[in-house]
Amino acid sequence: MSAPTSDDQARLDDYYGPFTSEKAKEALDVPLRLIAAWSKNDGYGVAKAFTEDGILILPGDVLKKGRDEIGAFMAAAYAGPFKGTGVTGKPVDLRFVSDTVALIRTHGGILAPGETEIDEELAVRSTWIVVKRDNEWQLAVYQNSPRGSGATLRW
Amino acid sequence: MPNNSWGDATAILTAYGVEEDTSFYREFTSADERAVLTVPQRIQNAWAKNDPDVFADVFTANGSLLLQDNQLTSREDIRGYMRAGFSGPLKGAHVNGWPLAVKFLEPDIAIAITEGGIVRPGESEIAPENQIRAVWVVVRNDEGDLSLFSHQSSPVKG
Repeated sequence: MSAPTSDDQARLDDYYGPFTSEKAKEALDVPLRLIAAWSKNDGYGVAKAFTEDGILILPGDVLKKGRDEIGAFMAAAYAGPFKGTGVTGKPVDLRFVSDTVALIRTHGGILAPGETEIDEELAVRSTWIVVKRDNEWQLAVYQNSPRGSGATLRW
Repeated sequence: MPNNSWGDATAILTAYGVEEDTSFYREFTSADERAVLTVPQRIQNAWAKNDPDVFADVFTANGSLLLQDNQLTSREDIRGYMRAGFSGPLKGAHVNGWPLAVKFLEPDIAIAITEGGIVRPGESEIAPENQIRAVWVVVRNDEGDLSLFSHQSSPVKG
């Protein structure tokens, strides 16, 4: 890994936004790791952002439990519907439930191949429940819901 | 920490005036799992009563709820939103749900995953487009009381 350039640093600062404490930045590393794995379309890399028994919930009847299920699902998705896509997100809320459990909310979405902006119908609100295990923040649950016009009233 | 138990579900529900539905727990029947699942039952009860105060008081003061495209981030926001909802668009609606997972992240922090959805007045079951899966973050305070820290639902159908 090369040393961060000032551009990299500016991008990171923009990502962290108002969440600038060291503790916050540590927790906010989890979405960054997932985004990085996604950019390589690396399904098992995405799974490694999760705890061993992490849970993934997506609209479209996706409920995957554990790294193996999540990795297999994402690998299949990258071979099909997610092929060539990226993902982006920016924290809008971060609250610590304890020193080692935090809730991160991001606004983001899937980027169609070659795109840098999210299509309106792909915009999501994501919640990341992250836990610090073995000195590393990991993803215990990831969930997203449609944002904007796609968000119809459900319970 | 008061002790290692999350409490007795039947006693918790009785204290809140909620009739226990013993079939709600499905396979999550350990004492602690059942205790965690009193929180979704209290929320179902609040919906059934269309009572915004019963609903909001399940949450921690900084509790959060995503409803439609509205991210509510405090108990008082939730109270105000549900007060307007139950006297308007949510009037007569209730919710049904059942657990898919219960996990303890820490001694005082648990998550529950449920499936279910909203049932509108005049409907007898959850319409397919209303089916959701929800993540509940449930916390236990120093007094042993259980509250809801976060609730978000995701549509099951695309």
